[in-house]
Amino acid sequence: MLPGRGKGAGAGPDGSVEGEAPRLARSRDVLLSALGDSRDVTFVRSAGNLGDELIWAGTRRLLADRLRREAAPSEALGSRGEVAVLSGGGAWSKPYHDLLPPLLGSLEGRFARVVIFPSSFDPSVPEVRSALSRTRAVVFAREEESLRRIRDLCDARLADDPAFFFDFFPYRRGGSGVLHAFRTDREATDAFPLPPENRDISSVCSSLDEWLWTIARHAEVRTDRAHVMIAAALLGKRVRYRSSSYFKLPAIAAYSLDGYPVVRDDFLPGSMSDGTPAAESGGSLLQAVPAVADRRETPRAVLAAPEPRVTAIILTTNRPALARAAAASVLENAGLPCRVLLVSNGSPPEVERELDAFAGPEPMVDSLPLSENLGCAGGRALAAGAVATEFVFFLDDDAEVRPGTLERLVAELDAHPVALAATPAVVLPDGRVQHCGGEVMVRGGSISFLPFGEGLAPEDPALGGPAPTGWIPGTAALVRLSGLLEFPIDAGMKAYYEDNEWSFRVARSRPGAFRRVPGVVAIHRHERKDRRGDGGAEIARLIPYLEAIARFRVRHGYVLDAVFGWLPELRRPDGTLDVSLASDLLSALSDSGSAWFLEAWRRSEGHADLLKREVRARHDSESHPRPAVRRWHVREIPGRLRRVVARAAGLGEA
Amino acid sequence: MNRLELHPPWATAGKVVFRWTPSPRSSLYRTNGFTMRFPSEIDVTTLPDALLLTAFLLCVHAHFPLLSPLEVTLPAVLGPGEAEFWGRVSDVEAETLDALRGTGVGSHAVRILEKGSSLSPVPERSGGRCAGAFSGGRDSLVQAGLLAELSERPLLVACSSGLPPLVDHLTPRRRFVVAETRRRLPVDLVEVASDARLSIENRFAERSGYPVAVNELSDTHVYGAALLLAGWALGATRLFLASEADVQESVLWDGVTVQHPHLMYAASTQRALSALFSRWGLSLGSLTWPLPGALVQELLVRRYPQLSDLQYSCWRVSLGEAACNRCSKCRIAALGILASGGDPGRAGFDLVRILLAQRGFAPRRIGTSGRAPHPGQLVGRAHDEFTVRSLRQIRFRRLVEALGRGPSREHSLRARALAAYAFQRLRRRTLHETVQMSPGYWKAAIGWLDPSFRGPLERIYADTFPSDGSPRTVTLVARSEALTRRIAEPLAASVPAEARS
Repeated sequence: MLPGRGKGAGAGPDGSVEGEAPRLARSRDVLLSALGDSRDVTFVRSAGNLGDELIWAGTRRLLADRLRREAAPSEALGSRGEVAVLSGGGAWSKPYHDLLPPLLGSLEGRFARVVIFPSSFDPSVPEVRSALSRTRAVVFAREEESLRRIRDLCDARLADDPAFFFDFFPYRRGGSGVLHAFRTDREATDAFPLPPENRDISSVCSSLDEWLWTIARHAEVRTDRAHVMIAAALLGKRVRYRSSSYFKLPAIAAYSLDGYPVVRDDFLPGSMSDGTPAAESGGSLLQAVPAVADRRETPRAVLAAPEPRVTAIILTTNRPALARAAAASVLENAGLPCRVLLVSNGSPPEVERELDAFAGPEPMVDSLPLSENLGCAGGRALAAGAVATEFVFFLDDDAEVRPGTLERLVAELDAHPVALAATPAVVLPDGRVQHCGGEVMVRGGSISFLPFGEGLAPEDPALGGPAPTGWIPGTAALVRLSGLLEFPIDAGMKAYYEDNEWSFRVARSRPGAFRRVPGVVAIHRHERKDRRGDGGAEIARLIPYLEAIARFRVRHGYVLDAVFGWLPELRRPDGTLDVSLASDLLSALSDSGSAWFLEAWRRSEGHADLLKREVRARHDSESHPRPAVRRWHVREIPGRLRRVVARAAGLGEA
Repeated sequence: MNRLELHPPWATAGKVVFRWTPSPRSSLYRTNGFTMRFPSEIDVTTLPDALLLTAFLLCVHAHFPLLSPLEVTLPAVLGPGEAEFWGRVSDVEAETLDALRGTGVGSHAVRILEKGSSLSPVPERSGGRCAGAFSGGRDSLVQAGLLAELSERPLLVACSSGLPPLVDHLTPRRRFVVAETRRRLPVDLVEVASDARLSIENRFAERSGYPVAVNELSDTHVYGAALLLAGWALGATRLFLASEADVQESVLWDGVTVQHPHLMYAASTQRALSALFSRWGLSLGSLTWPLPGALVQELLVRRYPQLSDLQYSCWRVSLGEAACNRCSKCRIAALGILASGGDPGRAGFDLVRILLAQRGFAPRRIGTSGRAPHPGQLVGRAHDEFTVRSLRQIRFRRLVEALGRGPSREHSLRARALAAYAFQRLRRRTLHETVQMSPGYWKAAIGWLDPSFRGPLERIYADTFPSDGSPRTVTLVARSEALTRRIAEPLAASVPAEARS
């Protein structure tokens, strides 16, 4: 496994990571063993930008159980201790070498041992060479090129950049568009002109959180900053990088990012327009997404089915034109007989009439006007009751299928009778995969549904062939009707995350229930529904999402990590997830309703500490049963303690 | 006042679409309409508008009492007296529902308004072809057998309409039953698919205090509508929807005739509908009206053994099963088949599971003091007595043999022994139960039968069963006929259509 891949590089409370990539685990071991058994460890930060902050955050996480204090260089020079860990980074290079080389000698005078955490080194700079050649410190290079350059100067070792120990998991999500994040500082190279849309996020973002979110929101990142490259790669983005003024980016990419969709783009002249997807450059959406499937690959028996085996359910609320396009894509592109059920989910009469008018003359299309909006879960659950074919194909109203998709999905389930559902590669209008199934990750009390193949081109060999998958996104999913009857969609999930809930529930009972078929595609005109502000109206808009997350928690006991996207206020200052607070808040939302939630949020203005107080106050104000302390137990408690316990248990003085 | 606007049904591309608008929105409806999808041999565009609107009313009129006070707006002017006819159908059904709810009669008001123009007359059909609704239950199987025996290549119309979470219309067993019936009988069998049952919130009636589910009021009418449209399109003029004598039970409470809660099977309504259909040269009836359920079961086993293994009666069935083998319906059917000399295992009944699940069975008691029991209680008691009679008729040796066949055979010897023990205990427990003798066919209901089948059918019944000409059955038949007359009166009088209140 690659560093951080699949597990989001997340460490457990003890600092270890289950399933951690072997090399990252080795890095952890060599770094920690360099500290010896010492518990007196001082972490000395250097100065730097947000990329350095990522290094520091990763270091804190790595040293969580060992760290005694943290100090800026000036503070460190005023203290003493056993071990000083000098922050890793790029401050041993020509552009930036003012601080650390002189600091190293001073620290060695105040600490018994000094360890320089993984950095890049350019010993052609005299100050760097001089400091390294005189030091007794253990010096870690973060790539092989630096190691090669310093190994004869000092006690040099090799380990991954500390940023790899950061928990990227909370920031992992789909994104769209391209982020150009080239540096504008003194390390910048003038070999390439900056693209007009460039945003040097390491300089302009106000916090690490903002910096990470900015990366997370994009599908592709182009940069010459090492930590933008690292973060983007670990967040599952497609990365194109160029060298800055020295070797560190290609060296880090070669050592630590092998296997990630990270491509060096130095050779491209001028802007990176050669790699721009067709949809972005004005080409048609369908041209951007190749028709990967070939009907000749589909078993003849599937194509020759005399009766419809599939009913496509397309649910829409007030988007009849999109729904019609989705239905048309099924009718035109399905290579086997297929029914379509257009479901108006509580739309006004004119929308119902429009769908009726579309369905009327189409022998294979029916329309079903729901009398109220039941949300995606309720609507799909109800509509599935109208299906009598072997398979149901759920298709979002803003999605379309390409030729060959449906029959290949049917063939996949025919070939795997145990499987209950299959999904194609779902591709965004920019031509990149949004998801092709995915994996489910449970960590502590939170759960994440990670998309597979996100950001890749649909024809990218990295997507592989048909394979089992951990969950089935509901954008375009072929499901056995028998599977839906055995595991009905939870209509209580209302508007969102019903596919997560259903997948999770099914997978627990039926391992191997899901298949992904990367060779075929559906296109998704996805519009992100990100948080758009902090006002009360915006928080009220989020309620349906939060209620669905709350129901998931009630049903399965886990907090969907999406809640930290909607409410980043629930993160701790260091960016980690406060699952406990999220769980309490969701519990309160379930029990006390949205009115309480909105009022509590208004009063606390989203501050975590105040939110905790609101949750506690609510808990105290409600008549929760007191702990059952029986009188004979109380009598056994001596003296004053007896009175305290008795009062707490509501038993008077007993 | 609730309002329900029915929009003009339209027929196109193999389907008929029905839409309505309730105001205010009612939780009775989960959708604003439904669709019926017909097989390719039926050209739905030939269906007359009057027939489509009648099919629509057939499907939804059972909802009227639940929504009352209600104003129904129709998209056209019906034939003379028809609006009044539908109002009276609703009134009669409401009387029973009110009585069962205990809220007294007369709290209902259904006003039917006709908007738009008159509908073109329905071209009269001739030829006399028979068509029967088909579900695979014992009644429809017997009726299918009778139709195939007594008429030339009848048409059977099966209507599939899911009612989640029930899967009885989706099982492979149902598909098998339909396919085998088509193969074994000299009939044409067409299937109509609909989402009509999906459109209702099935517990709405119970939430309103009525002791029935909505589908117990309306399902049969949906099947009847499919039969009407498919039958007309394929040239059938004599339509049959099996209904047995049990559900013709009624009582008089304060001068009001209270019918069995399964009003959709009431002969009073079916025969009134037949009067309506006669305007277009059609008739509607049942070939099993005179037969109590126990006799229908026996007739199926004894006269149509080639069909009896297709019996598909249980609506609680799971996807891979032929029956749930837990419910009272399975108990009645399986023991009834065994008592009649048949093998319940052939129809997929698992005697071991049934006997173990029903080992606590005890016949219901009906109080003798106070108000007369309602028809539902009487019929429930009759079904329990049927079970008691079956327990007495089945020889233990036959039971043991049956436990060694079919699905029961799959169980361990110990499970089969336990089932045999449960059977003996049930028999002992009901040993001293006073039950009526095996019922006969209702002599008085013979007159309800299609005239051309009346003679042959009575001979078949008389060959197999004793007749029941008791004053009780005569009274029940008379009460039903009175209701029919009351409902159909506006048709006979050809009262001009006008709003009624």
